[in-house]
Amino acid sequence: MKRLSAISIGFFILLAGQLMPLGEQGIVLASTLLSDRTEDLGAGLYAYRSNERRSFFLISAEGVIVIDPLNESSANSMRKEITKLSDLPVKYVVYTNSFYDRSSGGKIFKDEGATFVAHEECLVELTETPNPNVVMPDVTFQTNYTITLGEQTLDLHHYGPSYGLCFTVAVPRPANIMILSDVISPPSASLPRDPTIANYNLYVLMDFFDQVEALAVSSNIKEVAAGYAPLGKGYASTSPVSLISEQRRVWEVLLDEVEIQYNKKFPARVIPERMDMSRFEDFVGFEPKYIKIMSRRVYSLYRIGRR
Amino acid sequence: MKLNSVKSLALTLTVFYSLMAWLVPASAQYIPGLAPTALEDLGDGLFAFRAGGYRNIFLVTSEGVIVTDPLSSDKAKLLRDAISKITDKPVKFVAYSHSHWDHVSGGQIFKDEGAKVVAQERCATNIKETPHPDVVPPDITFKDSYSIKLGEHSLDMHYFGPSHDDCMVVMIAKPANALFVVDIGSVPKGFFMEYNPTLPDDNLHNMPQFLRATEALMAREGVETVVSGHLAVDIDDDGTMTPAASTGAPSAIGDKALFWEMLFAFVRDEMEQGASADEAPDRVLADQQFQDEFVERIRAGFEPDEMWILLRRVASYVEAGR
Repeated sequence: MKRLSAISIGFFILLAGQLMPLGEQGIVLASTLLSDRTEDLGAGLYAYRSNERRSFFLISAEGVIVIDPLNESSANSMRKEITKLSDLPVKYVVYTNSFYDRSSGGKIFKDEGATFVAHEECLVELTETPNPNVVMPDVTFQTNYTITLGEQTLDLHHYGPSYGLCFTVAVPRPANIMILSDVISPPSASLPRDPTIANYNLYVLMDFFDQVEALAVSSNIKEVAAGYAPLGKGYASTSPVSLISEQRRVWEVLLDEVEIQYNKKFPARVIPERMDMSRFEDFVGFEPKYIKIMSRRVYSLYRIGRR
Repeated sequence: MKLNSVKSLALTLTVFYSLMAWLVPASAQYIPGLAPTALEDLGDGLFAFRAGGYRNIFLVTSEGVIVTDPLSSDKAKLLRDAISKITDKPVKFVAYSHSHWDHVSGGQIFKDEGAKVVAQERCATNIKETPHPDVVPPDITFKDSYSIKLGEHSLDMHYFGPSHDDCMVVMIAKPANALFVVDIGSVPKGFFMEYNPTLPDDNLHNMPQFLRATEALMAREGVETVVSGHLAVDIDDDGTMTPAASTGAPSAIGDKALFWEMLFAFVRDEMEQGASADEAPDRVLADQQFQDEFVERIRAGFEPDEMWILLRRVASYVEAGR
């Protein structure tokens, strides 16, 4: 493995976020920017940025594991970043969900012999709606799966429908950082970027958070990393694990606000006008117009019982 | 693709019960002269029953009755009363169009008289996962198609994959040879704006395909009439609303397929030119071709803010493939 000191981009920028308290916890993150695209999260785990999206790779003594290639351009660029750190091949590519914006572009890794791993429902979806830029998974699993490569392991967990049907939680070890490619966005609890809340399975979303929180406790996980978050704007791609509970609170407030009005028999297009917007003000992405749109989507959860 | 403009004076808009409740207090009359319920004899033993903005169909045979979506406990009682005025035969089957509570609640009254509930197999899964005290789980499930035969009649249920939820079916009542479609299509105007533009539980990746499969089914079966699961209203130029006909031509289904195909194409074009999912709605709305070819076909159902939401939802589909 190439030494970090040989990296052509020879500066190590201490994140502004490391100097600033995050919330009330005063957490200082240990990650380090290696370039404007790659962030060393420690213990062989790296975050790779492509615009506002992030993927991850895990370097071991026997090869590399990539988590979400994103798209062809990003994958090619990520491959170059990996080469700066290791001359070993990418042995595995993991999909955290089936959506094209995360699962496209893996061919460059397939060509060097990587095995593609995804939850079995991802395979179903990618078979139903194939995309020429998405490499089909070679290995699928139902509930849990562990990839072991050299001194690294990557544990994959599926907790039923959540963000899509096959959203997968990844925990690399020994880094022991929980990777939630979607669902959270460090450093703070935030409203969903897409106000139509497409692909969120609201009817089981709280169950999902229950299970993820339980995993964090049982595995003594202290940090989470996400697939969306600006880089170089003062904070890192990781947050304290408490972000999961904070993000859960966003959904609880949204569901609760709509349910209160729904139970009062107010129709869908009246509910947004009756919601207490002050409850959302502290969440990143607060925009009343968007919350009103979200309320329409949530209304249907109570009306029809699904998604 | 250049489409002809729709210039009808009587504009048609699908209006759901809750939308009407938004327009005026729930207890009031939304449309002058509109009765809370309506029963319509469509011939050959087929009847359409409307309660508020919801509609179902039922088949009266010499051996009993086949009911579709019971709608709710209250509406099912009204439906039962309506059936009793036509026949003293028992309800033998209840056919669910899909799994959403607002259509399949209320079947217990029919279950109590011995009816069997029929639904696509994924509906059983959905109802098990998200049970509702007013929803009777199905007794009979099927994968692709199922024919309920009773006396000289049949109700054929057809599944073409996920659409609005993942177990939606269309039904053909025979010998009336009329198609019953719920939520994913409407008559008499097929090219209609979605009531909830966030599209809860819609599977866009298969929506046009489902509708095109339905169109092909109707052609094979010689279907000439379509009945839809919601009341549509005609809006005159002065804003006066009157109930639209409960039936329409099969072309309405193809028109809705075209609605989705065009919408996907407009959004995809913008995103292929570099628009993000967040930018695509505004760009599409600013596109004169979109206004001329798409909006013009909707007319009465067009609200820019509502269309923005729908376009944003479609952008997520284009981006993610789901």
